[in-house]
Amino acid sequence: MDIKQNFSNYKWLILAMLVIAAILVAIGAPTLVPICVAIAGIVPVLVPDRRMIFLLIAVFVVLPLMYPMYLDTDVTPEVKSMYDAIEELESGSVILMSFDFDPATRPELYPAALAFMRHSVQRGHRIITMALWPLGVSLAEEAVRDVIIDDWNVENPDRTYEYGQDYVHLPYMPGGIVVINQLITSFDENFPRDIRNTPIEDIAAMRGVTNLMDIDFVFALSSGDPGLRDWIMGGADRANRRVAGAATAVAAPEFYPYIHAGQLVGLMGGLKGASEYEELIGILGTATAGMDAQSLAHLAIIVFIIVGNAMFFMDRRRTRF
Amino acid sequence: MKKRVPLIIVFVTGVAMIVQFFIPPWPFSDLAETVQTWVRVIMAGAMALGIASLLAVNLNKIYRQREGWPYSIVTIFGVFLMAAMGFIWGPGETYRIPVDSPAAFDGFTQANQVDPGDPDAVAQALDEEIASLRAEVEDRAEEGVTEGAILREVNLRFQRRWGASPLQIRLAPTVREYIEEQPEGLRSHSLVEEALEANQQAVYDRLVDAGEMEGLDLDQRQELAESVFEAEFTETWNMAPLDMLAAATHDQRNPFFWGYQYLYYPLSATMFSLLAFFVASAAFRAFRARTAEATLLLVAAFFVMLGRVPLGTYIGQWVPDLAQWIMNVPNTAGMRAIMIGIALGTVSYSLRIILGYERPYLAGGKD
Repeated sequence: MDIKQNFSNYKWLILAMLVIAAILVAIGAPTLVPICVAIAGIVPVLVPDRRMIFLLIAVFVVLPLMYPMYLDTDVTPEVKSMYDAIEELESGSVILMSFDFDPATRPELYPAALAFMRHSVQRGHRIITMALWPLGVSLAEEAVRDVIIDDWNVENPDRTYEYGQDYVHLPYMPGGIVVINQLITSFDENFPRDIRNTPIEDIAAMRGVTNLMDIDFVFALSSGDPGLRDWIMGGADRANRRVAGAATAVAAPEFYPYIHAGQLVGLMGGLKGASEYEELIGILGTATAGMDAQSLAHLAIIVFIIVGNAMFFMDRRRTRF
Repeated sequence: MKKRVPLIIVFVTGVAMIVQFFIPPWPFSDLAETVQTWVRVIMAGAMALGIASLLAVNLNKIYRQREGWPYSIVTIFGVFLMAAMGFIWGPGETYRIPVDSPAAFDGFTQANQVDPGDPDAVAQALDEEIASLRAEVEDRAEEGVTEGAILREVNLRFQRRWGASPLQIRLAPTVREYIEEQPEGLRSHSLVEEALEANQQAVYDRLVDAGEMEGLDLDQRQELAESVFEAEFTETWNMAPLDMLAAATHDQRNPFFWGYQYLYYPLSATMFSLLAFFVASAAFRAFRARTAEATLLLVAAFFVMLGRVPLGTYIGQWVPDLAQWIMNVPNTAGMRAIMIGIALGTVSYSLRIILGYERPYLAGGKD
């Protein structure tokens, strides 16, 4: 192994590590500085190829999750407007949460589900969950277990949330926007029973809910099709309901036109949106911890882009002369 | 005729759906409802078609031993395994496993040198143990951890250490007494559920013999037996039958849940998270400012990536503000243009299909 050659080949990446270390010192988060320096010194010797990039990203994602720094996050208007909308609703309002995602995007969307559900429970709203994706039901049950059964009911024994009374799980329904359109006409024809096989008319949490017009707020967690776009078209445009949502970071830019047009009350974009919501409700959860990892991963990618371009221009200049 | 019939069906359905959107009253509203229900039935059927297609492709691959065929075996095995577990245990269901709470009680009282016959001393020892575990948990708890999460962790650690929860140990003497009162075949901590069922059945039989069930249907009989049993049981044992069950059993998630939670979920999340590595590698090797457009994209990406994470705020408030402006103005303008383009394209393509100029449903053939 030609160590000298390896160092020479990777001098730009070594420089990148040192730049990241300097930025971490500047922002007052020096926990990972020794690791950056160690990587700059050791990794080119051990992994003298592009796997080094993968290794660096792994380090920058895993370590902040193990040792969170809880960097402060600022709240964007699209998340604040959603928070305000829930605050403005009268206690006991009916909120429909649609879990339109699956475990692949769970790390990004599940924290948003938890934060939103916590806020709704704090405000005393009734929650109806449903899913346009087959595995959404399991995620809805898991969210209720984490927020209501394990947390809220333990901490508030005098104001517990009970299944059937304060919240209910409706089953997965195939059909996407067709289901939403049919909900405008009737709930019980589309969902005759809940996931426990109880007739919908016997469920107290569904009292007064005959169709989508009786829902005060719709919150859709979406990682594709069917998802938030269908809820905007069916729930906001046709049924005139207030609709907000959470989408993966890569999908979030698609929904900005709907926010500006007033069709979407608010949007949590990726983990960042969820961390902003956690900040607003004052309960820091996995999204806030995840933002450290995301910050460092973004920083690493930015430095890679700068370094890659610097190398590109150096090479081009060398070729010219 | 073979082509004319599908063309007529498409034309009539398409025009009817457009008409119902603009003229909602009957009969168009009913027509829309019916057609939409058909769509949902077809979509549910598509799932069966998907499974059939998956099996056909993978079985063919295995039969011909094409490259990577062993992976097809894993795929088919996974499909059948999860389906079988789902059919047997059902999604999200739990099943109860017995907890030997009397044995856990003995272990706890001996280790803490507490008189088992003194409930106050046992309660005090339990409180001290919980307080010590709580201190351990709080010591390691991260910022923002909720009270519920702390209690859950304390309970879990207690269960791991003593083989039962604090509540189960507290109730263990009553459970032991209840077990001892059962007939010989049911006298075991693992048969409490069966004992409760037998007790309830005895109440049911007694009410039938007494003629109190006459004129009632099966559901009403069951309901009456349950309420009488619950009242009598609570009076005798000072706890409801369900509490007795909770004191002697523990809810265990079924194998379908384990397959979902510990196989499907991590594998799916892993596939999605690989994106981060490819993006980083691609950013280093391919994201170059070769042209003015590429430079513009690169600069925008630079600020959005910085501004959409807390790190941007540390550099200066202008970074998230700039990122927000990019999202609100150029991004929204671009997305609107794309969406309007897609919508116009969809409308014109749909009209061509309705009018029969495009026939993708006829195996893509024009004629």
